[in-house]
Amino acid sequence: MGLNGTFDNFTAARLAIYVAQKGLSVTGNNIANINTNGYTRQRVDQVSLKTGGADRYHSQYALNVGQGVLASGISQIRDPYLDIRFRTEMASVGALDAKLAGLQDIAAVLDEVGKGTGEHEDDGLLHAAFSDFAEALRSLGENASAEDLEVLGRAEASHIVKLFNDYAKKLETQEKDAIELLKQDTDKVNEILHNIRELNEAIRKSDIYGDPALELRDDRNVLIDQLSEYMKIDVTYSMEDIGAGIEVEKLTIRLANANPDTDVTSDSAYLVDGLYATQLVMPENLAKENPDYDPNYKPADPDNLTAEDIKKTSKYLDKAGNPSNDPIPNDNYNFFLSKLVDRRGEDWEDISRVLRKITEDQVPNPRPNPPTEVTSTDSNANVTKTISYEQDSKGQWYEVITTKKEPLQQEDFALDDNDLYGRLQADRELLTEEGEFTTTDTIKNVDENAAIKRGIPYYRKSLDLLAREFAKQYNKLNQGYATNQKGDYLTKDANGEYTKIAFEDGYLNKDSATWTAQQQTVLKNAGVITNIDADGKMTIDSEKLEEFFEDYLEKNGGEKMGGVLFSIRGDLNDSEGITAANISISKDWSSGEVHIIPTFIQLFDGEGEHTTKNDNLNHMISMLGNKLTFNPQDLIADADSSILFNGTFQEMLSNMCTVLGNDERSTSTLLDTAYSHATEIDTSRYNVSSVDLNDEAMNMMQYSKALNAAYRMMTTIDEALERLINNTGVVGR
Amino acid sequence: MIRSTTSGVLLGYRTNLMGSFTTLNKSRDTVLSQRIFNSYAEDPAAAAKAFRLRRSRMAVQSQYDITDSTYRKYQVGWKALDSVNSVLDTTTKNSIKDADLRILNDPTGEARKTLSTVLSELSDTIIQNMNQKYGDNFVFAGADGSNVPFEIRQVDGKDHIFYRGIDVDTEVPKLVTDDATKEPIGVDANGNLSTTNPTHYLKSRGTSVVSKDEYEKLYTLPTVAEDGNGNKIEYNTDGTVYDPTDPDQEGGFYLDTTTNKTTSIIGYNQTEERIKNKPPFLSDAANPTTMVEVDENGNYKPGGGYYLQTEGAESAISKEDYDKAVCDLEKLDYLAGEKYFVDIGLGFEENEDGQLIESSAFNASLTGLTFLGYGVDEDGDPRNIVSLVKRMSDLTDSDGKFDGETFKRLTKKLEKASAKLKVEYSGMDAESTKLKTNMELLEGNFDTLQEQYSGLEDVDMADSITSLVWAQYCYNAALKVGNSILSQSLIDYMN
Repeated sequence: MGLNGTFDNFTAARLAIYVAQKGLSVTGNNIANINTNGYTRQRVDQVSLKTGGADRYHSQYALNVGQGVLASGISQIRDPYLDIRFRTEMASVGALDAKLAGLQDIAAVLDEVGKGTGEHEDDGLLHAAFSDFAEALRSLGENASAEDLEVLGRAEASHIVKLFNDYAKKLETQEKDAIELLKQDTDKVNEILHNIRELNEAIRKSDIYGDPALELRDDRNVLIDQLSEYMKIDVTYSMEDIGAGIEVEKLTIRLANANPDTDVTSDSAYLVDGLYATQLVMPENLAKENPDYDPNYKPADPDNLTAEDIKKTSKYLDKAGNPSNDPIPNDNYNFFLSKLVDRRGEDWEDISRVLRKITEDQVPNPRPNPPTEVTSTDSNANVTKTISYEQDSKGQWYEVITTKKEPLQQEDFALDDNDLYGRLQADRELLTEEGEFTTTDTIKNVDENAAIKRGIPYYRKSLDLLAREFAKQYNKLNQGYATNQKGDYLTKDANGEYTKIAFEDGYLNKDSATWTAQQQTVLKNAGVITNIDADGKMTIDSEKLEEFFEDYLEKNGGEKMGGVLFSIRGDLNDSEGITAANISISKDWSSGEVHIIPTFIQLFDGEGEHTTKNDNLNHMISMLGNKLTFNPQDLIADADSSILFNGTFQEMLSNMCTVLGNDERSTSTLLDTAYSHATEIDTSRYNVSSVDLNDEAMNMMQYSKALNAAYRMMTTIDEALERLINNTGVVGR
Repeated sequence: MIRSTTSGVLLGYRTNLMGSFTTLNKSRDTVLSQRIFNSYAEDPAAAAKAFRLRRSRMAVQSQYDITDSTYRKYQVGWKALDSVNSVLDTTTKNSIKDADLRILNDPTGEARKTLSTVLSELSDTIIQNMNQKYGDNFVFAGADGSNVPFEIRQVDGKDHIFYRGIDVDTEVPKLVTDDATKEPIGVDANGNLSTTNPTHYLKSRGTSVVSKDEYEKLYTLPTVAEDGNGNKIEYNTDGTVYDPTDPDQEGGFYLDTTTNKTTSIIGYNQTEERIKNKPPFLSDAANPTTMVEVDENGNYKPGGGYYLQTEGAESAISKEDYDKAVCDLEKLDYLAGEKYFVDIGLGFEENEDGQLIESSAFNASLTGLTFLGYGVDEDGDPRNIVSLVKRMSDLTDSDGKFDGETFKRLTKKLEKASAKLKVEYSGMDAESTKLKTNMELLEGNFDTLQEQYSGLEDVDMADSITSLVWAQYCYNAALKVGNSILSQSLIDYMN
């Protein structure tokens, strides 16, 4: 018969009181933390206490009653699936938010909508400056010899130049700010990883001692949520056997396969694995340090360096491992992961031992020494299995299988260009993506989609290309050779007077209608004329024509006129390598030594005057309306694309802004969607995990009642026992 | 989700309130800026289109200014030509026509000298009018607006008109050519055929052909009988020696010893006089007495059967002068057709060779030569109006006999030149009208473009204010909701 002991009911009541009190404490804790960020509501887990199993001698009349209740633990109410969804969405939110912020910063510089004052209200700044330049040229075209109008033309050109410089400088500043932001975000990520590792250690210790460390887990979840904004992560929990039959939970955070290239494995690298965590490293210099470098080494003959001299005096090793003094700057802001280490700096190791009892005759004779090793590789580690044989003090043999994992993720583990997806990657892409200016090598070896991604470098280079093309066209238009009104090229004789340049039996003239038979023969032999048909119509190779005439004029003293209008510096006339940042009015134009050339025609071989002739000015005016091909290869020789845009200067500027505007708009739309979705998921999370006052009030009532009932139960039993003890068997005393 | 928590509700409320606030801000920005969009991101297509329209508008504005300026220049030019026309062609007092009429109808020639001065001064007036300026540039100077186009210079004591440094009366004379080679023959400075070192050409104007027989007749003096003292013996018509004492004998003849016939003394003296005043004939420079034969057209042709009467040195023109005349005439031809183009909104495009397509621009060049004329005609008379008047003035100014025929001829030519001026003048008027019409078109274009981009960019204020009010209302409602967002819970009702 399952008899309860006399005081068993007291025990049951006592246990009930304990559990009810615990319940009230947990409820109180929940209410207190209602506004704590990341707090997950907690619940007391109760189990009914039943000691013993079936009696040896069981009777159907025996009634086995439970012995009360035990609080088996406190748990959190959280939906891990919502956490995964939220974190996935936050990666998109982080990426899009960072991208949008960057694009908005660029737009603050380049977007000219609503800019401009006075007579050019809302006409834009650079847009209006080009139009003003055209107007100045038109006015000069009406009055080609007016010096004041020529000065006006120069002033308008100077305004264009200053705007280019200003925009370029602002974009450069933005780029520097973006680098700082990337560094800050990297530091933030490293801080988060460090903190997660610390919390992992604390939680593990608590787990070992039986404390669920729920608050620490909440803190850790908050950090993981923050981390998810910076990169796409994969969070997994596993149980780790720490020996003596004890298992504790281990948190592992890895990158979440964000790289679209399925062949890449670095996009599932470990960030945190239990007590071990990595750090993101973004070195300034990618060149490896040369271990043989000796700063004190002096070569015997500095003019004839030996291989040994080169080895000892080179600070770095190039990609092929050869000594080199060139640092390879980390222009692509590539990330590397440091080794996984614990708090003390010890390397990550995963060693597990499995012991299997065997008999003595199962032990190989002789025992292999060293023990047999079998190596293999899983996705992120080299696995070494060692089989050895041990005997304990009682003579029992064991086959010991030791499995040791060493991560592939050693020092300077390089991440691929697209391994990250999130705020960090967006920060990087803002700094590195060049769009149509991307080189063929980059597309082939780094990112095949690089040509469609545009960051600050794309806009800087587009502006540079616009400035360079503008300067190139106008410099070309303002330099040429003197001709007379018939087109015969002229030279100056010893008296400084113009004479026509002879060419075979005539004069040098580009108009094919003037070419004599003899001249045609020479031009045909030079490849300028490729074909003459039966009607005498000639097919002319324009490039060869230009080359031939340029060469002939150089050799025969063709009278050069004009000069460079735009240069790389205001104190030079050098026009090689013009960019938006350095474009300037040339020294000669500033000082008045060079003017805008209204015409290259010397009327009547220089004997006549036509002070208001303006044919070259008309070229300059129509140049502003000409469709030009803006070729990225003019700026970056090995750019993959050869056409960025085909249109006028102002259309090119508008195109840049349109591309930027479209990108901004689509990013903003995507961000709104992602953010809305993330908020929705977060609200769901809150609805699952956060504290509701009604819930807690009911719990409070429930536990309070249970406590009161337990007290009442105790009082009842006390009274019953009092009667039993004190009032039983007193009859007849 | 069957469970709603305070935090979840607050999160949702915060998000929605922010959304409401953002909408309110956007509406406010729209009202304040009066623009539908304030960045490319808000409406890339509209922004790109708006900037395209603005560019066009700025170009149209500039083209309008150019057109206006060119039109005003044409106005000034028109007025100048109007003045020239009234100087030339009315019968009011002090016009050239009036002066011409008075000269032609002046039987005694007493007023001629005075009228000559009037003619000269009126021609100067024409030049002054043609040297009008618009702003800093001369109107009729073609593409050389900074320099005065017409000048009067003295050449060989006579007034010559120069246009941009070139004599407008430049003549490229027709030359006597070799019948075989068709090339001009070379002569010396006196107009004699030179095959060794010819320095000149021979002008064909002023030359005439005379047959050999005719020449013999005109310029051969017969050999007559003379006495021992070399005096010519006078004969009678019957061949007898004249006796002056015989009143029945008339004498009056010489005896041609070659033909043995008498020839009249008067005829003999005429021939002698003719030979004395014989005009130059084309001869061989090495041997000037040897005449050179030409054909009936005056082309050099040995055995041609004719001699060429010339004006001697006057007929000769040095090779340098001839080449210069050719060059100058070429220059005048070029200057008369000189162009310079301005952009008045007709397209202003270049072809694939980089040459301006002329139909897409406006030729703003006005050349004085086109209106006044240049060169000489087949009579050697100038085509230039002012030169004609000057020639006529010179004719009336001479102390010698008044060449009325020449004057009449020049008067007719002046009338023709005036008629041509009127034609050019009307053409200029047409161009002026074209400019005026273009200005109106550009104005219309300007307004249309403004309207178009205003339509794209400018917000309808009624709409935007309504939106703002509505957004403000929604925001206020959201704030009101916030007051009651945290409702009471069970705890508030527990004892």
